[in-house]
Amino acid sequence: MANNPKSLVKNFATNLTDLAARFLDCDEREAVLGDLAESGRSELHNFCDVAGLVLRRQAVEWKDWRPWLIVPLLILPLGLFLSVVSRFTAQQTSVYLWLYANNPNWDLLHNRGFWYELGNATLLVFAVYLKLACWAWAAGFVIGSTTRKMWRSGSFALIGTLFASMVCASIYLPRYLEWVLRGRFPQNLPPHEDPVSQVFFYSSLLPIIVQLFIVAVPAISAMRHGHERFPSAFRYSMVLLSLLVVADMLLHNSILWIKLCGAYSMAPGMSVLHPGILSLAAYWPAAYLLLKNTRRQRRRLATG
Amino acid sequence: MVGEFEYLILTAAVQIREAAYGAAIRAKIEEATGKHCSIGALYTTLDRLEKKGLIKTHMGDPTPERGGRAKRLVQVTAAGARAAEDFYSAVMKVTRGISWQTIRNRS
Repeated sequence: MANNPKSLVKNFATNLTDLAARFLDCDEREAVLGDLAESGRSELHNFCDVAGLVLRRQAVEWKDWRPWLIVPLLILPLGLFLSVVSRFTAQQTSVYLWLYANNPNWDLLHNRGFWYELGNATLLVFAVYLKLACWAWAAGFVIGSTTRKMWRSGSFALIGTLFASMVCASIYLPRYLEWVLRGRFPQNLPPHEDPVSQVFFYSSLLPIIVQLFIVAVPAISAMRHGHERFPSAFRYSMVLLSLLVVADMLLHNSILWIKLCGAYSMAPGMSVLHPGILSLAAYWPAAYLLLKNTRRQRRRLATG
Repeated sequence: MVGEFEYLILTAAVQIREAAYGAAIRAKIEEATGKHCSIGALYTTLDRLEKKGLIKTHMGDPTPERGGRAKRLVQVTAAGARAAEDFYSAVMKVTRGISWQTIRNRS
């Protein structure tokens, strides 16, 4: 029975084993999962076996010099920056979400101006999150293409960085925010007593949801995509275009790494709608994925 | 010279002959040693042996009893057979004249 607690645990362990096996090469995954199916041992035992093999493979990769160079110079900075940008974006968009979700006023439904503003806010929030997902995807693709031979270390490092920065956000973020704001308001720091950050969902849950689904999922999926085999010219073009998107992320969030003062230092995240060719071009991963999935669907329909 | 675990794998693969693959080799080693043989140890050692040119591996056809998954078939090369033989002779040489039972009884 599907609701049986034993079968639920078994299914969970099977899923965990499959997830761990994803870190193995294609042929090895096939052989190992086949061997485990044949051995007839418990699912938990199988998971421990696969996790052990993944760890051994990981240890072998770290004998090479590449992970020691790529992880601290590329993965850690990009992962941390993405994490901070994701936090700030969640913080900025939460104001709009709070405004409409937590302050319902039924009288406003008859007001045309309200609908106009709601449309604008929805479009803005959607564009901001789409841009964040594109930044994460492009960063993941650059990392994936650079770490093809050491993809396990790369994946672990990226997942580890995103997870660690998510867990440690309550410690590093207030300090980071203070550092950023001191650049803008050297005399007096604004108080952190706004009504939005008083709501648990906006202060704690939304940043985690954003980081998990809008940053981690696209970044890791792009990383896997970056490991795939492509013709060289196509790969170089993709990496170059992804680097442009990463550059767009760094430029649009320059306030987070350069202490800008003055009127131009807009809030990070919201500035994604700032007009410009680079800003618009940075949406290309969304168009690329849409095109790729449409093609795949058509091929599936054609083959029946 | 190969190590003890490498020797066990080479010997198990030779005994199983054409049908030598991960699960069969693992079962043979566990049967011989009476100890658990982890997939991690087995597959990393298979890789090492292949890099040294002591075995050759290739993917076989998928079989239904393995959930439709293919086997990684293992074949011991001439160099592998030589390395296993060297290890065996070294063990035999160093053990010559020793009676483990006597030593066990003495202590």
